[in-house]
Amino acid sequence: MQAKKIVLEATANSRSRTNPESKLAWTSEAFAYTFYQEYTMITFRVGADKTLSKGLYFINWSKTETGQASSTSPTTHYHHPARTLVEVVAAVTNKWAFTCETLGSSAIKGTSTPDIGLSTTNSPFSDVQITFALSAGTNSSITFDPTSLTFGPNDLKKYFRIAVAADYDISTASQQIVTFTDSGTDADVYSMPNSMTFSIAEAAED
Amino acid sequence: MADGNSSYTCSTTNLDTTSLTATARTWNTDTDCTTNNSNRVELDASSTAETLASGLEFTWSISGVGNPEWGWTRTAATSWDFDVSDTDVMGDYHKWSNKFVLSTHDLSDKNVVQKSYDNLNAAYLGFNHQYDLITVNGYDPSDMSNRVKVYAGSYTTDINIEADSDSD
Repeated sequence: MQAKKIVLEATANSRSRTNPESKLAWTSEAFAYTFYQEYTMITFRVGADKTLSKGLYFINWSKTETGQASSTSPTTHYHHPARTLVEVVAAVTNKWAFTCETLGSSAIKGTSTPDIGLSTTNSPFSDVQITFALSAGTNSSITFDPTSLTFGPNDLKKYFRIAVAADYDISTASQQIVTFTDSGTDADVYSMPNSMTFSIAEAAED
Repeated sequence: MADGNSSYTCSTTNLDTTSLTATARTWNTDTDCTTNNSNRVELDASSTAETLASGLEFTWSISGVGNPEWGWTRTAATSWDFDVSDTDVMGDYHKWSNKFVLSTHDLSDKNVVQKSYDNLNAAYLGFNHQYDLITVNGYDPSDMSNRVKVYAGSYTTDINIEADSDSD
């Protein structure tokens, strides 16, 4: 880039429909809307409140440019970006999906499993909470850590573990199925993984 | 002018070159020169009538004109000075500041009262300074392509903001 530094600022366009300010949001947590001279690209994300009606909205841009310290270089190299057109689609049920990693090997009695990732492609505007359960019903020897995961605007992947107590009775069931239940503001927009099956094995003896 | 300024500070003096002891004299107190995008700088005329003798040397200084960011290379001509139109020396370029012309306008009659020959020395070439673009998601306002699409209740994935880095 030609300038030393550029900080962009995004604002709601006043000609947009009624009050999108609080219902339309944008974030650039990785770059803070700042170009340094080594960059030619930064990123940001746009989010819409679940209750925002469909429509076309605009984001206005302004910039603060710091020029190179040179007598032959102009202080301004860039125009701010043209206002950005944002098309908001009204909330769609199960638009995005959460997927759950599977365990590559059995859970071992008396231990916790490795971290199991639960992820989605687009983070919720507000929050989605995912609670774990066993399809066979609560088992006092199997616990989840944490018991639920909450995804916010900056969360795409979070992890949980399953702890299997040493007193688990493997003869009753050597397999268990984890089910996922969602709640929270934006729960409707996300589909849950159907289930996640894992096997349980005795600790090896040597 | 094309350097992005809308006005400059100027000073206007004349000097009686027939006198060895004369000093430059300000004859127009207006120091605010307006400009526009056509590489023209304007100054209001003095409201006091002046009678100028042929020995007077006239100076009009314009302060703060931005340097062009870049220029074309030039090999000095051996035969004559005015070589911007000599394609052997300068190549076949089409953007020139040209030499300066000084003219006086009568605003009420809307005509040019006086105009110098266009042989006043050019300071440099290349007043045109082009800005670079910053685009969001490659969005093109003319056809609204590449607009950002967001589903209520969620955020988009990362959207690129790109800064052009071409130097011309």
